[in-house]
Amino acid sequence: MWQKITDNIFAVTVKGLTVTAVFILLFIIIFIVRESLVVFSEVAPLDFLLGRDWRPVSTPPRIGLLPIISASLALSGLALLLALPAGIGCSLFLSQVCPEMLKRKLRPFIDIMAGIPSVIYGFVGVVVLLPFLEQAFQLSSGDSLLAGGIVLAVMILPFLIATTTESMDNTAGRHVITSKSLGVSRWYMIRNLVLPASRTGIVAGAILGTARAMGETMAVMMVVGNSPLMPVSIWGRVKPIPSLIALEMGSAPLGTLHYHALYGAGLVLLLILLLINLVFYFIRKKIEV
Amino acid sequence: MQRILDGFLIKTWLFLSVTLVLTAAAFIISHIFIHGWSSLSIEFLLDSPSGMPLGTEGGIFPAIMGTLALGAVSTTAASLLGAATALYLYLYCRNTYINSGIRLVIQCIAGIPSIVLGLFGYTFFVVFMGMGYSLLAGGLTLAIMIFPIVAVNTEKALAETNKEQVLASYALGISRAHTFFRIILPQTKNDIVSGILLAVVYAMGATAPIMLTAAVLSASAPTSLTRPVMALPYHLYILASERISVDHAYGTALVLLLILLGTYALVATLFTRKRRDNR
Amino acid sequence: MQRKTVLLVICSMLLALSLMAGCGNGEPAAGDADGMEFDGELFFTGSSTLAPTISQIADTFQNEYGTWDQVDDSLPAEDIEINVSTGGSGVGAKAVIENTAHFGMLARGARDEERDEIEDYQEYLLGIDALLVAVHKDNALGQKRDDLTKEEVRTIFSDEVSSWNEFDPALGDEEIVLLVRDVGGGAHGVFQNVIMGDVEVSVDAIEVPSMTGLVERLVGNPLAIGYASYGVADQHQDNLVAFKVDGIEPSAENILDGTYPISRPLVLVRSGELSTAEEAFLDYLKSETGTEIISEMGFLPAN
Repeated sequence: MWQKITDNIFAVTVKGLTVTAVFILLFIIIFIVRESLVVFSEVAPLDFLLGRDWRPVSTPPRIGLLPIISASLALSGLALLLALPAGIGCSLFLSQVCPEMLKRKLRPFIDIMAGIPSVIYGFVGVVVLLPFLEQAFQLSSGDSLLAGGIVLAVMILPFLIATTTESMDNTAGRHVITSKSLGVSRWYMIRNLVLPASRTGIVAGAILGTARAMGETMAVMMVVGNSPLMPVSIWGRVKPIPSLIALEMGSAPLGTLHYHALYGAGLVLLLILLLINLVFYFIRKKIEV
Repeated sequence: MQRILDGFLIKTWLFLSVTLVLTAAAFIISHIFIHGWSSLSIEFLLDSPSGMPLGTEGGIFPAIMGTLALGAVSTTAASLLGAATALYLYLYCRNTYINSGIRLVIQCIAGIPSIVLGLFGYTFFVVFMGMGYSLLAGGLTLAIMIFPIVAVNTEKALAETNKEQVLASYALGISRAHTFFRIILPQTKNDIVSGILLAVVYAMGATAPIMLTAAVLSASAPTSLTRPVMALPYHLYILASERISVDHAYGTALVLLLILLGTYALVATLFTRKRRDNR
Repeated sequence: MQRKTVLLVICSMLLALSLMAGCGNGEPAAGDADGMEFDGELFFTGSSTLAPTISQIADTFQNEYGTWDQVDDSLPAEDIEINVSTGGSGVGAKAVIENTAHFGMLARGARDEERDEIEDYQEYLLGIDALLVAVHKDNALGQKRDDLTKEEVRTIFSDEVSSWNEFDPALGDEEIVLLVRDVGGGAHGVFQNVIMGDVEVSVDAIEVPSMTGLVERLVGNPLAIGYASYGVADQHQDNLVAFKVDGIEPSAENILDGTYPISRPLVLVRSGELSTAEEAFLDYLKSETGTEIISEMGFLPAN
């Protein structure tokens, strides 16, 4: 008798909490969409996305996200460019060359890298990277797209490495035995068999890294200069979407156009991430086929 | 000849990559240790910030307590939701659509950038629910952020249970709840706890969600859920971006890092050793 | 199975409802003017120029009295807790509008929209601050001239010129590094109104999220020019050089009597009548100790 009651309570609790969790997500999404929609009653969606001026508190207010969106994309792109070579190289090492013992010591090291908070990356960026850039390249101020790209690259490395190593372990496995039995050198195998085979895995990892980079707030905010300019040069300052929201939300009162515009920017970010994830999903599907 | 060159090039590439990555990681951690060590002292850890402007002298005690408090609140909420969801998927869910659906939901939440969650947290918890800037608002926002981690890790832990024992238990007519508490839980306890600890670590290091919901420049150590708190990551951000005190910034960073590394060490030693003997 | 599903749905709806039930009147849970249990906490947020000063005074207040009943017998024996946050004057105004703080700190006059939005608007003047057009002591322009007209300042800060020699051919061709406050900062609005007028600040300007940060960067870069708070710059006197504007020197007298054009009030805004505790702290702010700290921080107290 007691058993039945406890069992039921348990079941209900578990299921209830699960449903709550699902509702939370739906609620968040609906909330964000709702708060953003107000912008579109004042600004046409196309103007919002492609407008080149972000001055939400001037008269008349100009709400154009193009520089901001471009900044986000440019930062992620740059970060990928910088991180991929080292990331793939590292994965190759871990997957094909590294002895098992060393691997077990290195993995936690890389996982820890993934666990270091964003602020700390940003802080080291401010105190080490910025002065370095200012000195090395004679800049008046190190805050730049480049600084942001470098910091982001370091931050997404652990994720890149983890995903790519896993993919290589899986796909390359079957090549090892064949190659060894045919007397093919390890390097030949890597260059001509493993790399091409893990291509899709690498792409998947890259896409995941991009998504991660686009959502990153703190580290980027501290080194990137935060001027809402189009990213035309790596030395220029930019303002990506997360920085926009973080910096301006505090002073945009509820209900103002500025406030809704920020929510709109958040929505755009979510949509871009959705797009990236969809691409990721389809690529995964392709691998499995 | 070609082959030797290829081999050499690839070898160099791999070697450089690994060196680069390891150096970067080691550099960041050691840089903080080296420059922050001198700031660590009993006063730093136990005093409140003081000096003119505030933060140049004194300590960061309220921030340390605030971070721990935020961790506690968020973990409690997230563990309830996350563990329950994972349990549901493991024990009760027979429908593949619901299964994939829930997994999709978890992935989606995991994909929401922390700043967007902070935005939501502000409008919903701080203003709409009337919590004001508070430990509770911040904790709940963080909970949403880390809930996917708990859910996924708990699921992984549950997947490793001894299926035969579970099936035998059902076959003997033992209820699911009872099976869970007596058979599944003892086996997976460690893994679940380590998953939760990893989530705590993530929550304690996050700045964006608490910037708009709980963290302030100066407050006392947390005594109630309804008051704002100081937090290490936010304090570090303020010290660094307003260039108030680089030394204290290093110290704050070090304390944060120590808390995180300490927890990782705890997880690694206490909760993962069973891996070697069980499988 | 059906019954269980129904039970499940009902339970989850109850859960959701209970979450909504705690529903906002949007007031900060801490003590409020209309007789709600005062729990010892006051929350200030807003201007980054004022925040350090208020924190300082709060700290002294806390150390001097300890608990609220020491300040005034009618108050409960709760520990004094005054929390301060920052983010710019805009944050302060927003917080009072949305009732998430007891007081908003503003380093500018409140805008009309803000006055309208705040229910039962109250304002308390703490002191006067001014914006200095300042450069690093090694800056070329600073060494050459000590006076700029409003139009010249406007030219420098706008898109019209981007390197020093475009403004004055005798200077070098390095870029002008403009340091300004972001749009939430009180100084932003003041500068825009007084100096820029209809002309926008150059898009290339570096928006610094706090006044203290702005001054720090100014002190670190000989190529930079920015508008620095009189009070904050005071702490870096030896490293900065301020220009006269239209011949008027940014001295305490000129600021106080209004001849120096770019001055701004330091105010606390709130909605509604003061509670006893709030009034007590406000009195302390205006007392000798408070005034002393305000002038120590470099500002000109209201008395």
